[in-house]
Amino acid sequence: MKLLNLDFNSDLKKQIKDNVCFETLQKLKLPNKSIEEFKRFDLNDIYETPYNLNYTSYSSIDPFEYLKMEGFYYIFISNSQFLPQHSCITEDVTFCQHQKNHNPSNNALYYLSETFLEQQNQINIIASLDKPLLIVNLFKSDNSFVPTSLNINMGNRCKADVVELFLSQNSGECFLNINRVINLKHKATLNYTKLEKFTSLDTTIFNFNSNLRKESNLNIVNLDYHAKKSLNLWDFYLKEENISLKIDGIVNIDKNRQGANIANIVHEAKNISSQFNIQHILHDESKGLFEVKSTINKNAQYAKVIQSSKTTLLSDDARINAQPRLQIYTDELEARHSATTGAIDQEQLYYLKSRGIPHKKAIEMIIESFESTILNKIDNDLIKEFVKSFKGKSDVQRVF
Amino acid sequence: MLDIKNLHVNINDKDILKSLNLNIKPGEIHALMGVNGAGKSTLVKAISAHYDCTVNSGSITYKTKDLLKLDTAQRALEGIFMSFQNPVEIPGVNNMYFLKTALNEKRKHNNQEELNAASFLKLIRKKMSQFNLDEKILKRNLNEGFSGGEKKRNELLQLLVLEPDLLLLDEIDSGLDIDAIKTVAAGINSLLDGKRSILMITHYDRMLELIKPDFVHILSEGKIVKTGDHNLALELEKTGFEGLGVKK
Repeated sequence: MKLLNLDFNSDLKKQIKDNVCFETLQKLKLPNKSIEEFKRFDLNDIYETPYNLNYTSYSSIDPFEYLKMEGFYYIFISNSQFLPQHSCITEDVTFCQHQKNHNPSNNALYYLSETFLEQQNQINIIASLDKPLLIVNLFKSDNSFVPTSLNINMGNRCKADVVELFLSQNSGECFLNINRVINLKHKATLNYTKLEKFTSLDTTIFNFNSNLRKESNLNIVNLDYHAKKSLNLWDFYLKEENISLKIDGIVNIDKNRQGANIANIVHEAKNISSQFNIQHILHDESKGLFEVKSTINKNAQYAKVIQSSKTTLLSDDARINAQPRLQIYTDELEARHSATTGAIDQEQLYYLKSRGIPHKKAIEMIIESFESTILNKIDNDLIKEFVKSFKGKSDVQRVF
Repeated sequence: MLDIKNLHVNINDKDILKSLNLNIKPGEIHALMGVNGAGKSTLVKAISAHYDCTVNSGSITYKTKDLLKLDTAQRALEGIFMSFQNPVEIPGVNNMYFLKTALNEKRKHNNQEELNAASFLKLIRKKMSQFNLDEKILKRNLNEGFSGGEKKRNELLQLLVLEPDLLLLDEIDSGLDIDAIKTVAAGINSLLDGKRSILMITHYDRMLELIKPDFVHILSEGKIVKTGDHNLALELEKTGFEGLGVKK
């Protein structure tokens, strides 16, 4: 099977050959077809599609001026290039490009971007932020493979609210392989929200990796709505005491879109808390995948581990494959996992309609109610309002 | 206002209403009484197009319209309001947002201008202060964690805001203490303008003292078997259903 059917030009081929990229690619153990079909999440087309490596720079970011939000610090990144002239930050935030520094990962797709990128983008937060930081990622390419990478580094005891927005104006079928590494030092707290508006032809793979130090807190709210295929691969190796990791997410997709969360969370020290909670709302022929494995090793006493997948199927043809898994090698812990699947509650729908609210609007209200349970996990009111207003502007019209 | 003829309704393939006839004129108050399982709730559910109910035959005409051709929301927009025996909880849907959405849908249906947030708040505060309703329930999610009494007060609030023409009250007195019953009854009576009609289900004469019915019907085995005025309810209170010759 081809790994990636990239349409390399001769210079690039030479460059890749010089960098031994092909060899590295050959060594990658990417998920194979039979595994993906079993999961009802077929990645095969990204191996077969003839992508190129051509990207267009934005001549102007005027259409995105509205994102220079009052009350926020902001950084704009276009096709992996920082746009310093469009950024507004405090001296406690720096951004730069750095030499590659490989984070160990079990995820082959993480190394895929690393293979193609010469440098890594880094944002450093060295003191607590008085305002939320908005990171706007703009993509513009045509039938391309787009590797990108960003490390967010936070200093000791820092606290920050960060919202990262992904906006795509790609044309044709594009495959965005996006690496995110979050490094939190001692007692740092990062509240991170990810929001996207990809095109209906984009395939996106987010490879999350982290290095969390003692007593740090990472709270993630992940919102997936638009991409044709969106896969989040979460790889967390929690090796220091008193770490708190919370991931709450929404997968609200329609048509034949696919949304997946695959997580591998290893607990290696005492008093670690990890929560992984995804709300799926699946319309039409969409497919969801929730595959979360939490391993609590012998040294990870007093861990608190929660996995939860809640799914509402809005069509007979929508599918969910939920596999919450716990591997426990210690006696002293609290752990629970759950996976529920159902349709819209008919009595709730009837109640709203009995007050004159039309069927379509009533369903929207119930779906919004599911979403609000996740959106309410966002602590920062400015970010919460930003997410709601952005969602309102960009929501796809769904047909019931 | 409402004319039901020869109505046959089943739920899960079980015949519940069997050839039921009922006529309610504008301004009339009808009380429906009967043993458990007689079909009282099924009747109000059938009038408001509950998904459980299948109408096998018969007709329901409402203000000259064939009601059976309208869906639940359309019936509500035409002025039919069913007060639920057990109002459902919808976590995540804010009560004020729900009320404003419902009112604006109705205004849109009636070709009236929709209310903005400020105008709506002014209107609802006025309605709530008239009946000593606590504004806190506006900020909460729809019926979520409400006590039985709070749920019924919320039903009353919806009634006051939506001002329907036909009120279907399914045991609106259940779970309420005597003071709350008085508040709910006062709210309902305030809507009576000689044109609005009520069909109410109750097991107790106490509610009928507060909302005086023009007609009392006794339902048994899916049919109305006796009709009278308020005295029929008083007689029922004394003798019970068996005393009136109604099958249990």
